[in-house]
Amino acid sequence: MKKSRLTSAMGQLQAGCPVCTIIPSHMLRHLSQYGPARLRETAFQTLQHSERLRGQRDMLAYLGAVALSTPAGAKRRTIYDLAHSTQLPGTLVRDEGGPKSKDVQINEAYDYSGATYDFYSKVFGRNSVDNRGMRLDSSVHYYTDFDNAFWNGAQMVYGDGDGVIFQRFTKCLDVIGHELTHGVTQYEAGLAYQGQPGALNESFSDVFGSMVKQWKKKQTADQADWLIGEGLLAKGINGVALRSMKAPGTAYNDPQLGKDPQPAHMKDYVKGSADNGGVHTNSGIPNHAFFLVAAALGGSSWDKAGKIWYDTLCNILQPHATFANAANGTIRSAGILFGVASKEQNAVKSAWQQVGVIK
Amino acid sequence: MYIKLTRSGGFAGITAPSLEVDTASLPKSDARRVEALVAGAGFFDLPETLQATRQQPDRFQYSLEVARDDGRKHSIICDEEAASEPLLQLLYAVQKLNRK
Repeated sequence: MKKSRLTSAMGQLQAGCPVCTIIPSHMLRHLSQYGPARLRETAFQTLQHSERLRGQRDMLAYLGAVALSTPAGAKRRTIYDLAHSTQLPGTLVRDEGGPKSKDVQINEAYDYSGATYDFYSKVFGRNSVDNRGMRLDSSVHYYTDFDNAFWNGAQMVYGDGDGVIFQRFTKCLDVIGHELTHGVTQYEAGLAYQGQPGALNESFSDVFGSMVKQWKKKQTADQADWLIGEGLLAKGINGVALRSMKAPGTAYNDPQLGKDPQPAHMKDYVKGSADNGGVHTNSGIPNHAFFLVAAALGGSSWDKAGKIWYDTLCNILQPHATFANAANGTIRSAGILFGVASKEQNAVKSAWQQVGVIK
Repeated sequence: MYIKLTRSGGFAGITAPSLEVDTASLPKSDARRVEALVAGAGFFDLPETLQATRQQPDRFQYSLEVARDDGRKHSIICDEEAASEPLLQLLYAVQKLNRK
C-alpha cells in the first residue's frame, strides 16, 4: 500500500471512524515496531484505538504474542541527523555496527542508547524498550539552539542546546537513559503524564537514567553523585546539574534559570498547572525516596533498590498511580523479592515515610 | 503586533520568563516574517487549547497571546506536540527573536 494512502487511512481511523479498519491489525502491529520511524507512532496509536474498540483488554500483550521479535541481547540502533529541521526522523547517518561519525552527537546518541540497552538487558533481562527487541531510533540536531530532548512515543529527539544555558543534550548518559526509560514506562505501567502519575513517570526516568550512569561507571550508591544532567549546563551558569536525587532543590540557582524548585518532601509538593502539574518538579519526592533506599542498603543501586523499582514499574503500577500507590507497590514488591520485614522492605517503607508520602 | 510567549515543561521542567515582542520595534524584515507566520498558522482561528491526544514526555507547553494593530486579540495554550507545523515555526521564531 502506498505510504500516503496508509497515512490517510490511519488518519481517518484516528479521527474516530468506528470499526472500519482498512489496514489489518497484523500490518499495524508490524509497522508499530518495525516500520519507518515516522509511521511507528501513528501505527501504534491507531492499533491501540482499534483494539480498544474491539474490547481487547491486554492489548500490548496481544501485540507482543504474535509479533516477530529480535533475539535478546541484540541491539539495533539507528541514528538520524535532522540537520536543524523539525521533520522527523531526518537522514540516516549511522546504523547498528556502523562506523563512528565525525559528529560527536551522533556518536553519543549511538553509544549511550547502546549503554542503556545493555543495562536493561544485563541487569533486568529486558530486551529493549518494548522487551521485544525494538529498534532504538535517535534523531540529533533538532531545530537550532534547541534546549531540549524528548521521547515522541517512538523515538528519541535531541537538541543542540543554545550554548549559553545548555550544552548539547546528547552529552549526558543519564539524559539518554531518562528518555529511553520513558519508552519503557510507556510499555509497562503507562503512567499518565500529568500530576502525581506524571511525576512518577518522570521519576522512573531519572531513577533508571541515574542507574545506567552508575552502572556504566561501576559506582556504588555512596560513590554516585545522584545528579541528573551533570555537565549539561553551560559554563557560567551557577549549577551542577538539572536535578539532584540526593538533595532535591540544590542543583542550580542562577539568574537566568531561577532556582531548582524540586521538593524533597510532600509538604513542599508544588501545585499549579505549569509543566502538566509540575511533573519535573514533584518527581523530586519519589527520586529522593529511591536515593534513600539505595543509600540505606548500600552496594550497587540496581541490585536491590533497582530491582524493587523495576518490578513495581512492570508488574504493579497502573496508569493513574499516585505517590501513595508507588509507596505501597514498592513496599509490597520488596516484601515479595526480599521477604516481609526484611531490611530491604523496611528501607523502602522508611524512605517513603521520610519523604512524607506515608505515615 | 504585540506577542507574548511563555514556555514551560521540557526536560528541565523550567518555566522561562515570558517573552514579549512588539513587532513595531523589530527590523522590518523580522516584523514582516513574524506577522506572516502568525497568519500562516491561522492563529486567530485556533482553539484556545491545543492539547495532545497522546502526550510526549519532556515536550514543552506554550501559552501564546497575540494582539493585532486592528485590535483583534487571541490567546492559546498549546502542547508543543499538538502544534501544526506552521504554529511550531511561529513558536520557534518568536523564541529566536528574543535571542537576538
